[in-house]
Amino acid sequence: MLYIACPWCGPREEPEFVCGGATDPAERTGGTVYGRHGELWLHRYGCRRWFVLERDTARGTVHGARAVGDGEGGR
Amino acid sequence: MVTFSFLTLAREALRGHAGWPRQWRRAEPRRRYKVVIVGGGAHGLATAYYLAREHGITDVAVLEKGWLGGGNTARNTTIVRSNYLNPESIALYDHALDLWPGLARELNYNVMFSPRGLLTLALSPEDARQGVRRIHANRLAGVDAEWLTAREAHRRCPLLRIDHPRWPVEGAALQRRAGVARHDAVAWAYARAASALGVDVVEHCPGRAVRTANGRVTGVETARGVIDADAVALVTAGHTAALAATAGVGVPLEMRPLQAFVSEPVKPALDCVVMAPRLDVYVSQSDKGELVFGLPVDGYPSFVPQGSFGIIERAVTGALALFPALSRLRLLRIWGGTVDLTPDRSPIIGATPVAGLYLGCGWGTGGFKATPAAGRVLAHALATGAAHPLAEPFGLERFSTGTLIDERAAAAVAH
Repeated sequence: MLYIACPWCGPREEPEFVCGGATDPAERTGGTVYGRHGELWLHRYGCRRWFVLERDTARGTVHGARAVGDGEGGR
Repeated sequence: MVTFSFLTLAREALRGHAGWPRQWRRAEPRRRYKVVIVGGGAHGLATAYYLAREHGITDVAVLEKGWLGGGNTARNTTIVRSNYLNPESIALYDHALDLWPGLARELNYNVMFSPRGLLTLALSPEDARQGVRRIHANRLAGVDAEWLTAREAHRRCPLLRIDHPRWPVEGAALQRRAGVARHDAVAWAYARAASALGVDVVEHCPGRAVRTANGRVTGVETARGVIDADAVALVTAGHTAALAATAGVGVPLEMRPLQAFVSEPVKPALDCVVMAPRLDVYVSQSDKGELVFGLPVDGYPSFVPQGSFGIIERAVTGALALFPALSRLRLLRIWGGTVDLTPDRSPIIGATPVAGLYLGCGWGTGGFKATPAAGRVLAHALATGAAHPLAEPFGLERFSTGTLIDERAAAAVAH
């Protein structure tokens, strides 16, 4: 169970969130980064805001959430 | 290799089975091979076998970073089927389904292939519309597929509840030739047969990087030294992207954890595979008696083979809605792996922009069923330098040309 600190709501349990994929467009052509990278997450059953979560895909650890920066996370 | 036969089994039984040799030679990696296959799962081993058997190329090494077949080969839910939607996919998976029945005899090893049939349930009118469309697509491609009413599905599978108030069975697609096989046995069978033909099967030899010069592959850097090769195939599922990157080749593989679980063993209760895409679960019963539950991938990218419990809970809810009789079963074991998903959920097979470097990856959650075909077509590419007709649509270049084989919705289970 991941505990994710929504930047607005604080730490909440994983089922409240949905992952929107990696923020780095290079991962779409080069594959998932092994190690730390940024992901877009939605606090679906909470404040319903999108934010960027830094996670380590090799260790499974979470390293902090922040608001989405300008020009970041475009699809 | 000592052939398994009634005579040798009887002879060895009288000797307390003391005379069986190792099933494959414990080979020390040499300095150079014609072909190096990085990845000793079922796909890599099958590729090596067909290289030796069908193309006479035996100067081959299979390098496995851990123990043979210890990756996704050991962790899948053993389903074998070919009921995809796109004709290119149907052709490839159905070729595998044509090879499965003869595999045990060809490899002289019991892979326990059991064509017990696959029921894919429609649990809403929309499911039924999609299901009927799919069986017609299958039949147009010459593949067996039938549509059953709920009653007929229940007759085929008496354990199934067809009148759940929220998820009533509206109908079911049946593929009779589909079934299950013993995943470990497939790896061992190919390893033993390939080794007997002269292939070096090397365990505990992680590949670190692909070596290239002037746009051509020259070999592989491993934890046990450099091995030179004329051709290198990366058949390493989730590690393929990182390895290919060392040769400057980008492979669009998204890594997701995938879980599965089994119940305690019970007497035979379910004699076909049942898939319920709407409920994110599928079930079969192993020959050991355990009910095997398959799930969709977890929700975020990860190399850690561990997923969230929410997916397990949803799967159990769905399974019990379909099979109320299972409610008192104990879960015995839950495990995970990591699967490499491509943007169109179809595999990547064949050549790369680097001459002599080949890929067999991106099989996502559905590689096991394709094992014999995956090995055959990749061996063809390695041996001839040209794509096998069945593999041609699945080249890496399709992500540049846009000729994707979209199986995201069509693959019958949430990929």
